[in-house]
Amino acid sequence: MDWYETFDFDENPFSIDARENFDKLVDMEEHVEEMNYRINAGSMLVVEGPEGSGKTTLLMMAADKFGGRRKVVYVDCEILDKNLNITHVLQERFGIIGRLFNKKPKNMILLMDNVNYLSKKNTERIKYYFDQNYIKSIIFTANSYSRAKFSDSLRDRIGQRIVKLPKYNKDLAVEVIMSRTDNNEMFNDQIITKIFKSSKNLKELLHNCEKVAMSAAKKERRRVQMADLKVLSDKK
Amino acid sequence: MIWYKKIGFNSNPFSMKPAAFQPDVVAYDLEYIYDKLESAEILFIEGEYGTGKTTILKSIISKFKEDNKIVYYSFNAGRNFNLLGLLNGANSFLRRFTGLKHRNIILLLDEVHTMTKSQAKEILKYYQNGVLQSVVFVTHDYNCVTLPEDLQLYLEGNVIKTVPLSQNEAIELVENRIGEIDLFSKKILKRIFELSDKNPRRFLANCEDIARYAVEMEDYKVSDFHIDSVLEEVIEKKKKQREVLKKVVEPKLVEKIVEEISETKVSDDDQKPKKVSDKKEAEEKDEPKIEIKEVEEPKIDDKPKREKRFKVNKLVEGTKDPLGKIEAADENEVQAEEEPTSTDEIPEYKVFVFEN
Repeated sequence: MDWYETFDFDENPFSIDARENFDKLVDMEEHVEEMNYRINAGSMLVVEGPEGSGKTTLLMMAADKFGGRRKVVYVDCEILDKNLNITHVLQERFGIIGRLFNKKPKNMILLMDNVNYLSKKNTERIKYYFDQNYIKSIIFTANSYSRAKFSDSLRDRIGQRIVKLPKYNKDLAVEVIMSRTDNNEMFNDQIITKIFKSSKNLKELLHNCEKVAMSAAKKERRRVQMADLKVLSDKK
Repeated sequence: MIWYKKIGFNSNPFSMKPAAFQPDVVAYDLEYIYDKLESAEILFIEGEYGTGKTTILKSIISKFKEDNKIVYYSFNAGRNFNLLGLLNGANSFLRRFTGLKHRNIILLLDEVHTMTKSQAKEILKYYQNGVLQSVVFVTHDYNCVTLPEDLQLYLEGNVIKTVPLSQNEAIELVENRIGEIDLFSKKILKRIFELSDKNPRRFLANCEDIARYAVEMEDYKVSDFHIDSVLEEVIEKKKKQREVLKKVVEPKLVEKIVEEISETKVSDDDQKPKKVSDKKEAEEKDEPKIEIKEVEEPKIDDKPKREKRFKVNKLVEGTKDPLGKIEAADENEVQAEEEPTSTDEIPEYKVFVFEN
């Protein structure tokens, strides 16, 4: 029996896998709508927000909505180094044949995660492909857009199209946990506040909530108590 | 339903991609450029972001693609510059097989600010031996490119500066985009243009956002209310700027300065010339707007002066950095940034290609 079944959940309510959390975003409807519009309208959009604020989840939602016919490419720039060649990334959709014949893609949707790690050279290439219509629309995510190595001409194309996700704060933490647990009284505000204080960001908050909930589940309690928070300090 | 579909468009009419719409080429004296290319000259087009450099290149391609071989290369395209490879690519399989080669190739080079002096020399060599009929270099600033001196001589009188759209040209641009649809009045477009700091891309972006806002509210005619709602922050910022100016600068000067920076409110009579330069412009309304400096060559003098869009500057000797240091630095930098050409050398990265 998995720990979350104690709380009548079919799956882990604190999962941080962006692909599983489309329905768990809080107050994001407007941002999702904006992102979907920009993709349809053929523009660039920057989603800016701290770690754990839901940037990757937004991109995964876009991939889920617009995916198919190999038109959507998701790239996590954090895992790339500066030797990445975005040309090859776009040609991925044609596989080996695409590379051999230098086949050019058209109207791709590019989802670039963590662009703070993207080299200037690659941003220039992206601009070129966008201008040439190989790429129809691009969604960038960044912890800090101002620190991204974007050229002036690329910034000129992006203009004011920046969505800022809310910073990590106590109210947001309470709202997210209540939403994740369907307000089933598994956690109370006081306990969430305590966990909030020991977590740097939303991802860590969720991870810590999971640990605390597991501790309660072991003791076959359906409500988390202050005593369960001990697992957080034990770890440290 | 997306707003532009509600008014009968299949795609976004305010797309910012260069020449996404053919009629965008407004008020450009393309004939002047076409003449230069037909006369087998080398051109250099410089201009700020969003002034239409890439759009001009796309127009050249559609004009000459039937009679000439056009080779377009952008230095930010991410490949290593290989001129011979590009030129061979312009030849058909049959020509390559028989050894016959095109000799009327027009080479279009975009974003040449990263081009090195040795690459420029190589291009010039192919131009001099007749393989290239003409070459067009494009970037935002002529002075940031390191060119060999003999190439600079070829460019005398052939450096073209694209200038930002005028208010009327911007209005024409939007009218071309949306056709008969009466979504914006001229007065409204003027106000949006001023609030966009006369930047064409920002102007199109603002037109899109305002039109979207209005149509989503089921209003099919944009009003000041829609502008005020969408551009609230911009208007507020400009108000503050004016207040600061009023405090800092003498009142007499305020009016003059405010005229020069972007105005938020556009009145109907703003067409009347106010400044001396405006008067001159109005007087020369039908006169050419190509500004030719130090025209010595009879070829250029004989050209009928056309249109408003270009300032054609003859290069004055000594205005260009005599190279050396800059070039060496650039070359090192480029070499350091070279990417692997073999796919084997590409590192692993996290890429998903989504399929249903």
